[in-house]
Amino acid sequence: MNYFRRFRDAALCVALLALPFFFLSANLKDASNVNMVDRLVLQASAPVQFLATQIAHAVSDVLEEYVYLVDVKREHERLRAENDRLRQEQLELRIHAQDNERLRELLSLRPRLGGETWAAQVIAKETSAHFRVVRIRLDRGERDEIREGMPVVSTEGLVGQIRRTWGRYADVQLTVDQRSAIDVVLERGRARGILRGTGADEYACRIEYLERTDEVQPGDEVYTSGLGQRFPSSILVGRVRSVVQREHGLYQEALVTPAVNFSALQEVLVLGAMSTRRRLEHGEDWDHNEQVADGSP
Amino acid sequence: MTSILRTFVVVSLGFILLVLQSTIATLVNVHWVTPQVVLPIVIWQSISSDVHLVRGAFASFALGYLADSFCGNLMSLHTFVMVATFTVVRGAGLRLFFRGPAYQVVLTFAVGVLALGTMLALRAIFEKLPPFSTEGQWSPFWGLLADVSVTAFLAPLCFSAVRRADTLVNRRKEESAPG
Repeated sequence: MNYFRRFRDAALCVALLALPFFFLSANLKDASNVNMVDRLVLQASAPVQFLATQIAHAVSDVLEEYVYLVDVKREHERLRAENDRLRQEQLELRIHAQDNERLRELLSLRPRLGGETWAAQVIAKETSAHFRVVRIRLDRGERDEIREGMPVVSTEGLVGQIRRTWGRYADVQLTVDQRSAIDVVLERGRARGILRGTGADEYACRIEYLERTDEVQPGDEVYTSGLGQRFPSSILVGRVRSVVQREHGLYQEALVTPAVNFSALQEVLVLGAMSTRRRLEHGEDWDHNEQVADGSP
Repeated sequence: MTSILRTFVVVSLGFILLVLQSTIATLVNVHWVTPQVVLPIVIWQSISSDVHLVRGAFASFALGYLADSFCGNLMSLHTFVMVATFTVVRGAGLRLFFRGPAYQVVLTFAVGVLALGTMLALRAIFEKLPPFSTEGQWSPFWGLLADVSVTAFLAPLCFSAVRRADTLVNRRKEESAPG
């Protein structure tokens, strides 16, 4: 009995050694040399091998996926933080692009206007009880050689003129201020008049001393005439909103909507003395023009 | 029934070690060295007096088959070598050397050189194209040496793990025994 058990154990060991050896030799043999026994061995072993390999890979994959998931969570958090940062950067870039565009437009005004100009930032806005901007303050003043009466323009059109300066700051009197008076001309028909601010709770100006015979229509564009020493010619001031014709008298009036959105102003150009070329082009009697600009017809 | 459970536990431990090895290999680039994590388990079985010859041979067969399934190598190469290693070590009666970690490392290194050398030899004999470049004659030798060295240094851990698992099964058996 003992002898039989020993023989059985030895036989089993030999079988366990021989079995993989057969598989190995059958697997490694060239396809042309595979005999009937090899083919049987391969056919019998293939499904078992496939199953074992599938199980091994499935278990490995599950564990690897778990490990990867831990990494994915960390990666997700990192990417979210990066996304937030990039969004912020994108927003800042968009703001910079808008600033850049505005400043570029402002700079393009310089050669057109001629003379000396100063770019300035709007650093404060004084508003009325109805949130209408009544005065703006610039970051340039006496130290930058800014003087009272200098015209202030934006890319949209005429903003007003410097009312007072001190140190590094200057206040601007807007075209809609009721103390403002500017000699203007209508693009269509070349009618002339004096533009004054209404000082009302809406941004509006009024053109006075328009001759009754002048043809004026709503939508007509209003420009500075260049008469008077203060404002260069051909700067857009606004558009005619409505025309008021009285039954009696020599003149008619027009209500004008300013071209500039004072609430959204950020950068402006302060114009120095008008260039000699422009003055020569006009060839006007400056004393007379000054009188006109002051409001006396 | 207990011997079947012990065999199952030993094979399961080998399975877990292989899963860990394959997972670590995907996370860390250690492809230049591949320790044979099931080899110390096979050696432990062959030098343990209470592991029956047939049971040990079956467990070695299963562990070798698992190693084949995981490593994507030639099927049955590990199976054959593991069963052969078990038989040879058992036949050599090396259990006297099984004393401490240093002996375990030395023993695993020696057996590992034989086992992995046999694998290389089998591949060289059976495969039409040699598994290694014939130009760099020393590269397979250094690769084998690196694999065997890492396996040998990991051996005390594997020995300890398989001994604990086996002791746990034995204790359960004693606790459940009547009287």
